[in-house]
Amino acid sequence: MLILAYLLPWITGTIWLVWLESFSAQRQQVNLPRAVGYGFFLGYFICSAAIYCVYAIFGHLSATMVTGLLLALSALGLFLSWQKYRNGWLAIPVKAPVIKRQDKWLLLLLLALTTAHLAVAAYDAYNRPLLPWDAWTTWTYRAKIWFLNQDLSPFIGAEAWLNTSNPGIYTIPAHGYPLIVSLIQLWPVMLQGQWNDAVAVFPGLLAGIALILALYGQGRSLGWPALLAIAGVYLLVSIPLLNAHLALPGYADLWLGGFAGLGFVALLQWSQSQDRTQLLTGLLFLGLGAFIKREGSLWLMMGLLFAIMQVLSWKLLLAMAATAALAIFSGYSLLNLPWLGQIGYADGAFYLPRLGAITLQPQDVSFAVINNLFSNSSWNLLYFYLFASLLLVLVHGKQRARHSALSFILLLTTIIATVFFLSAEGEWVKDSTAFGRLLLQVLPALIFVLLLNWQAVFHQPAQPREVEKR
Amino acid sequence: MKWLLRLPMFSALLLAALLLGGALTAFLNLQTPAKEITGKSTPVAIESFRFMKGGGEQKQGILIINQYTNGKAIISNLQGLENSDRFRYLQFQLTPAMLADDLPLFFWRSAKTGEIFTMALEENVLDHLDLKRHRQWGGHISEYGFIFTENSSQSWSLQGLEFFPGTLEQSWLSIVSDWLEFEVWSQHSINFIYGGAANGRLPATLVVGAWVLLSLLLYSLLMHWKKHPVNARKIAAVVLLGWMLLDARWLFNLLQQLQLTHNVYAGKSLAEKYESGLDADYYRYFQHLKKQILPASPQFVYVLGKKTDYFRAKTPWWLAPHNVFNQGSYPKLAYEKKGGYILILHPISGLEFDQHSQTLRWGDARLPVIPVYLDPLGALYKIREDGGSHTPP
Repeated sequence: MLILAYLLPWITGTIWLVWLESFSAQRQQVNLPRAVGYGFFLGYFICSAAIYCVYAIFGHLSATMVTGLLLALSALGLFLSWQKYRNGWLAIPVKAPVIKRQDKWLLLLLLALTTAHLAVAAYDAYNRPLLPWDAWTTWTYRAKIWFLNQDLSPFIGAEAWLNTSNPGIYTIPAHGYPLIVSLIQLWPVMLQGQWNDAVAVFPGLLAGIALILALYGQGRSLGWPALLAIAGVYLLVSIPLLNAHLALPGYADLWLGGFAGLGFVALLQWSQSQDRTQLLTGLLFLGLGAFIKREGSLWLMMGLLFAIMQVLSWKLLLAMAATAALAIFSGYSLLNLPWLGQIGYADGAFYLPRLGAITLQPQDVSFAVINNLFSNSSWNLLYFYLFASLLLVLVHGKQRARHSALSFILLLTTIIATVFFLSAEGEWVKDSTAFGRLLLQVLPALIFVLLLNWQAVFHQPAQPREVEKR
Repeated sequence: MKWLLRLPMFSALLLAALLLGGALTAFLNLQTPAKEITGKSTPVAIESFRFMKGGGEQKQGILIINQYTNGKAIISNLQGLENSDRFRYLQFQLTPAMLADDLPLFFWRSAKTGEIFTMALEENVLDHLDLKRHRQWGGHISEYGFIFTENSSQSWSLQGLEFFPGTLEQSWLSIVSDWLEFEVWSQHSINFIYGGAANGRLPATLVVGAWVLLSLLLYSLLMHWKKHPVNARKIAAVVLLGWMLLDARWLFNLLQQLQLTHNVYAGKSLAEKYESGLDADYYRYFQHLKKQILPASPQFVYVLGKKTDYFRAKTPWWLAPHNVFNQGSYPKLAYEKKGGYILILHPISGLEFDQHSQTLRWGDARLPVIPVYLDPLGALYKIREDGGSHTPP
């Protein structure tokens, strides 16, 4: 039953990803690792939405109805995919990638190390009771209450809670956090019928496997050598902070890494291949990320800006930036978007949809940031290599890769600077509680940028597999 | 010079290691000048320690501490230490190897009779102390020892105490020891990873990162000098080498963690796992409240205590599905209206239970309650429904 719980959403999501990819004008065959990797996150989102909808309609939790709904959605997705692919059916490649003879040992070593990291994390995730703070105060706590009460008991603020006598209404300090991750953790225990910490949070470990499959698939879709794509997988899975989130699952940052992180990877892929399906996938995943954690809105904004930067010239972008600056100084800088809320800048504060106001409050966090990126071991040597590769790509890189990598890092740096150097959130850097986790949410994209830079500097442009003529 | 050009990448790696090694040694020496490169250590016989508080036993060079007085056990070496400036590090073996940041070394100097100084272990360093961290370390030390706290562990074993001089060799050994320090999964792991000892003097990431980048820079210069193109495969090999070096250290840490997880939790039910963990006492307490004291149906429970206390924050998790409110240090008027239970985990200044009037009193306010379960870990009161409370506006 547990295997069904873990695999069914994954299969559903994969099938719909295959269908989504069928719209690509450039594709020839299904990129299975990519579909399985992205499909995992899409599937668990669909599963959570199904739990919520079934509860909203019927007033109680029902694993059977959610299972039925997922099976029906899978069947529908299969049918639609079959219709789209019927000329060539689902051409799933079964051939192993071509590896040069001298590369085989290195490839085996990288695969062995990747497996070792995942296996050790899986052993901890399976055996340990829940450890991390926000998991038992917020994310998994809500799932536990829901499971024990067999409903989706609402969580409200302290003042409102004190004024209600309804015993079915609960309160936590972070009562406004989105529900999806808690619903994801509810799903396997719903099916198992018994509360168990490890069972609830274990999909977090599976998310790690999905991340590396998606990253590998995206690398290969650009025609990169299998060795480079596997090296990227190893770099990702050996990042110590990611290891911690895989071994001690329960936080939402890893899930946002799947939605926002892989969303950015899809956008970066689109920036190289011009495959519009990847643009759509990227924006879809970034949009879904806004329902995972509040920071998701921030990444969605950044994704939209990134996409705009890929299609407009630098001159036009500079003109737009100058207009924005002018608007700020003229007092026309705050928009009220329907359903989303305010966006812009006014009276010393930035306004972002779902995030609210970020008041400008300069912080001296330079040392803390340097310590987090370069001194402690959270990231291995990622930021050493990333900055070195950016310097190289500036000098030697191919134009298209340079434009994508630089615009991504520029936007990310602007966001980090705004959130941590210019607002009260900087306090979270000083005690190192939020800075690392914010970067974890875009980690797959950072690794992808590193590989992109490598490919742009040291390799001849490869013909993207999906751009090859039929 | 020819061999330099014949094996450019190897030469670059070697040159970078030499340059970096020299620079870092100079840096360490500038920080705390070492008089000698090497020097002899001084072992301390475990028999020279005496129990000043609490008790235990000595067995074949091992001191076992297993009795406490008022929660403390103090061992002291009255022989002291002459010319303590000679020594920079105190190494020892302490078991069980668990977080013990509340284990302080204490000492007092004859030059400042009566003033006792203490220094605690670094957050996750369990086998040595850098004595120079304390400004008062030096001269003749009249007495030194350790203070053990009961709640860290019921039983500690201490052996292999040895003072090491502050030589250059020892500085480097201490840094390597910091790099290899086991970093157990804890609340900070989800936010950042130290990479060995907390606040180590020279982070391994910085050293390896600098070495790799310097090597690649030297390699590029050598190839430029030779007028040859750089070899991407060699660059990739060095990039991966640096990464794998740090990853090897991290994997070693992960394997130690896996062993610990296996020993403590593997093959146990969820309840047994909680009973094996660091929170075992509180887990048993909350299970008792949940199963024996509180009604089966979800109740309102208001937790009072220190605002940021770990166990207070964890109460809702353990008492689920009881409806727990843990956001206040003193009772609120709304508690009586809602009814339910009040749980006090720590004594709160100014808040008392008045036996005569059966009320909780703080300032001019009072709340009618009945004591339900009193335990050293927390006191549970039921809010009386007959009213009679008085809370100032």
